Amino acid sequence: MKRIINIYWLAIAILMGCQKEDVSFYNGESGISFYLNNNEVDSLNYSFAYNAFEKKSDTLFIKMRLQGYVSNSDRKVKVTAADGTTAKEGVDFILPEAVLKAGENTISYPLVVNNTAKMNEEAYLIKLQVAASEDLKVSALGKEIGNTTATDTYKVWVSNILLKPVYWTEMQSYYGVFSKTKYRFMVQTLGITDFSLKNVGYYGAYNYPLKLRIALLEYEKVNGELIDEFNNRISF
Amino acid sequence: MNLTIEYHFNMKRTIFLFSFLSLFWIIGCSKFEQDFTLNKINELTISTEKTAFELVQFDSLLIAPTISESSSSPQGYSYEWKAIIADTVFSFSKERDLHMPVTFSPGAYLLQYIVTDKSNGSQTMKLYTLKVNGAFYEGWLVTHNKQNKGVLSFVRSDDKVFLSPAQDVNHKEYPGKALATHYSYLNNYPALASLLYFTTEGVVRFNPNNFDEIGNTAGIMGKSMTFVDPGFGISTLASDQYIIDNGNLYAGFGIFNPEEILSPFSDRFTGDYSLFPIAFPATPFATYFYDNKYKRFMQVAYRTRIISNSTGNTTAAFNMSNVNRTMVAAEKGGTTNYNSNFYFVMEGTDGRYFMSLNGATPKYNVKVADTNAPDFSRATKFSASASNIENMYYAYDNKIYLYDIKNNTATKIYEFAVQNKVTFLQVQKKTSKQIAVSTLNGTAGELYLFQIDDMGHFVGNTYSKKFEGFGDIIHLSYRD
Repeated sequence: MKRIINIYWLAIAILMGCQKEDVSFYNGESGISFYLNNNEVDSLNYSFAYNAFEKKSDTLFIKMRLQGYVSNSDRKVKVTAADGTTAKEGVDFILPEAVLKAGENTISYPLVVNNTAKMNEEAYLIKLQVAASEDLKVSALGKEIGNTTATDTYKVWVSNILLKPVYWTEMQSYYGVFSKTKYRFMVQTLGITDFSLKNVGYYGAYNYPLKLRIALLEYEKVNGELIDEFNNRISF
Repeated sequence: MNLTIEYHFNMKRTIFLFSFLSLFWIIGCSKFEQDFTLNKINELTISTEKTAFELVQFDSLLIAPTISESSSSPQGYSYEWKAIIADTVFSFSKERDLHMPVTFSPGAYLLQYIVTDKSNGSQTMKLYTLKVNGAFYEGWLVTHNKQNKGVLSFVRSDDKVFLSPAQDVNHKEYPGKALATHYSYLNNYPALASLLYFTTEGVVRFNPNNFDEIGNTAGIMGKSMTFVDPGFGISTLASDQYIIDNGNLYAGFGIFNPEEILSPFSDRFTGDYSLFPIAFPATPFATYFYDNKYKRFMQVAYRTRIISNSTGNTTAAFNMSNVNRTMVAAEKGGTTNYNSNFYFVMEGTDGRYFMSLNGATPKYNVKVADTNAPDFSRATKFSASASNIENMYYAYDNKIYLYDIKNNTATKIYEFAVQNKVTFLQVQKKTSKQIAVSTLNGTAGELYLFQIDDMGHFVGNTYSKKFEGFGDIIHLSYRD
């Protein structure tokens, strides 16, 4: 009898354990932040010098993502310049108003940068900070789904300085020793700024130097030798 | 009382266990009745007269196997034919005998014939090999101009003539005066082989297996351009392709970048030069050219786009950097000491010379007098054997001569009727046992094939085949 009673209680316990549990949903204010994919860093280097043609200003797009529900109406997004910013707002850069569209949960924030004279000498920092707007607060920060990271700050270095591209070492056997003068000539001749093997392929790696030699011959007929900043004659 | 209940419970358990074990013992010890009767299955033997087949695409393939059976099958047989190429297997017939036009793409196939006994599912198989050649698998490319129109004809090695396959396949005319047709084949990439047909209006690329048009001037040269005297060559390692025209050099990719083989050729190599339209792939890492402007050899390192002067040596048979003669003809000969021989006919201020390179080393540099080699000074057509016998054929007017390189002498080996002027001649380099000679009789172009014996003379002292119906034949080349 005792055994039968024990079996009875065991059955009851099993039945109770299988009862469905209610799932709870987020129930709070919506927020927004910058976000980074796995292996991305929270900064960006931008140089006006890498454009094929001179630009007075440019727009850089920084990823932002919602935490919370999408809305049926547009919501304002606010980004400010945080302490540590060395570029001058309104002169070197502009932080426009932005809107998270109805039904959307991401936005590319349009940071406008201006090619001011001082950019030729030095790189300037714009430290972006997410601020609370009337519609969205700053969201929770840290690791999120899909191995992404929510962050409330993002750094942008802006300049007009031309630096030797990282890929140049690999491509030196095709293009020769790097110089800014050579690089600018290449950009003007071919109309591209990325001469990496990944971008131009072997077709470009072998044939572009020939195109550049032809263009250089034409240039020299009119202008004489092209001398770089190291006082060397440009050749390909 | 408790002891009694417990005794009854234990007794029951014991009886149950004993019965259970007894049951297993009985089953294990019982005799298993087995049947050792042997029934032979039907064995089949499949036989055919041959197991290897070679056909031209779209020709009919007939295989009627003989099937012998050791006993009859109550339910009969089913059949299946499968083709295997690379990693692909596909079934293409369920008939007992195979009789069908071969529509497979050109290539080498394994055919599997499977006969299944429906009574018991046992299968018997037989394998065959099948090589499918394109309709244009091998033969002479005849470039000619007929009634002021450029034409590309094809004379297949089995003598079938296709007068204008490119026009017929693509349903279009190709404008311009025909200049030359070259076969581009890079090692181990048959799928990327092509024919380059040059006219004064441009160049067209055809698939050599079916003459489908697969490229035009803009796609081949990267821009529209006209041609004057086009030449084509491939470097020793097949790393680069070259087009030379009007003295200018252009390069294309080879097997090191197979994805770019059909990409446009480069711009003209910079430099002050005017090249004779032939490439000399003398060494694995450099291809040589001859600059008729400054009378010197030049070279291009493999996988580069720079042409530079060749280094000269005043103690060599001749100074490659300062030859001081005009190249009139050039041909690739045989191989000596593992190096290719290149033969040149050069015009100096004092007459004509026969010169050569063995690899990149100057070898022959001899003046050729008409007294030793009749009409050599006036000859315009030359072609060299690729065999180990060092000889070369040349033609002037209606006569063909055989030039003995070692002895610097020539003899006339054939003479056409006086009105038949030789317009081109080309040794078939695959075997050096055949030479194609074209003539022009008024406006009628004719193609003659001569078989060559071991000494370089024409077998029977005459041609073996003759083909008519052409216009003015300006170029001959062989597609193999």
